[in-house]
Amino acid sequence: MGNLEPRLRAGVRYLLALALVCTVYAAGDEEVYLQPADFVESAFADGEAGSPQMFWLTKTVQPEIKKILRHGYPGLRLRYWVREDRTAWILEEIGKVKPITTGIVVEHGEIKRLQVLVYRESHGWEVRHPFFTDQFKGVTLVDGTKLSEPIDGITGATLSVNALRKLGRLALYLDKTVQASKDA
Amino acid sequence: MNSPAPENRSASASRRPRWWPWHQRMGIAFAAVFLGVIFTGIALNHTGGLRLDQRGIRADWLYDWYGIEVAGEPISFTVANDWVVAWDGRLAWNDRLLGEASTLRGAVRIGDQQVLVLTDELWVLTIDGEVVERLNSASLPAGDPLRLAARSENNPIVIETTEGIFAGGADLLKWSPVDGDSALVWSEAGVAPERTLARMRRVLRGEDLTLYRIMLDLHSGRFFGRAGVWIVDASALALAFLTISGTWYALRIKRRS
Repeated sequence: MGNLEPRLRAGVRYLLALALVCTVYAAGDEEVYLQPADFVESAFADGEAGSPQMFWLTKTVQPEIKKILRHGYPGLRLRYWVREDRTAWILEEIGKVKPITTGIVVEHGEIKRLQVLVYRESHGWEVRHPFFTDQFKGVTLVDGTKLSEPIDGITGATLSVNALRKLGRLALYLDKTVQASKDA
Repeated sequence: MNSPAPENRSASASRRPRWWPWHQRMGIAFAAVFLGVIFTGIALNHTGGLRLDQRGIRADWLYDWYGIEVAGEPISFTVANDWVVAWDGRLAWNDRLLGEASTLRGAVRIGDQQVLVLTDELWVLTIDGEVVERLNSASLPAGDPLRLAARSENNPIVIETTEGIFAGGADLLKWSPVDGDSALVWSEAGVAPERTLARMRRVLRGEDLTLYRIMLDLHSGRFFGRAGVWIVDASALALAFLTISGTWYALRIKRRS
């Protein structure tokens, strides 16, 4: 009986180690498909870099962001790059447990390019492929914060697909806000 | 409700099958397990309402029981009277967990903000430790950050990377290469007080342990190791036996009467 407790503890530790291995496997490794710095360099076609700007996540915009993401965007401000009517955004949203870092270029209120830069989940990485991300090209915002075109899902990558749909909507909304402030 | 006469009771008892005492013993033996599984199961069914997955557990004996430890050594920098610590892949400000992060390279205070530089990011915090923003490689100078210094001029932040030394402009929107300046005071790692580290260690250990995890492990028996799982399995089989045998016996009595 005296040896029972150490055995129980050993059993729990074994199971915890097993759970940890499963968690690590499930979490997967971080895959960097394109460095954020390289995305910003390539976001403006003729090689002339956009001007870095700050976007403050004020009490006015956070409620709209909450409608899109179903939660607020972390932090008090974020960076974007702008030249004329083109803006480039690097945004993050959690797919299942880890954030997906995505670069989005918007011009004249429509998405010109959406690219997964860093993927950290073990499943759903298919969303990085052009057959999926090309669906966002030319998509605009309608009825406030909805996408103008349906984005087809990918079996087994539902959460990642949803995360990118949200980021597409968010980038369009942020661009619209920036353009509106310029016009004002 | 009248109890049957003694002769009727003994007649009834004599009609019971020989295994009947085991029915009773099994019911009594597993009663505690049944109750545990029932109550934890009801709680798990209402995880959302009870917010079980959001309720953290603060109990060192439970961390010990689960064998949860914080790996590696803490890297600490002091900013004014506060401590920023990167430990086991996470970043904390005093005892507030900020999130996952790489290795901390330096921390300085500029006006009403604190700036932290890591191997692949720069974090800006308020003096209360609230995250203002996180800058990735797109907003940082070329190369991997090595160390950080503060100065009270127009370019308040200086970062040394593998590509050179750069000064950050207002709001850190642009970086300009600068020469090494012996007057710069580079942020140096320190050793956080034991009390601070102990608080942080507790926060990091308890980060993933929620009431939901405990309930789930109690429900499955896994909380008590492999033996616990076997006991819960045995209790499930016992419940099946009690259900079948009890139903069979009740029907038999009904038919005879």
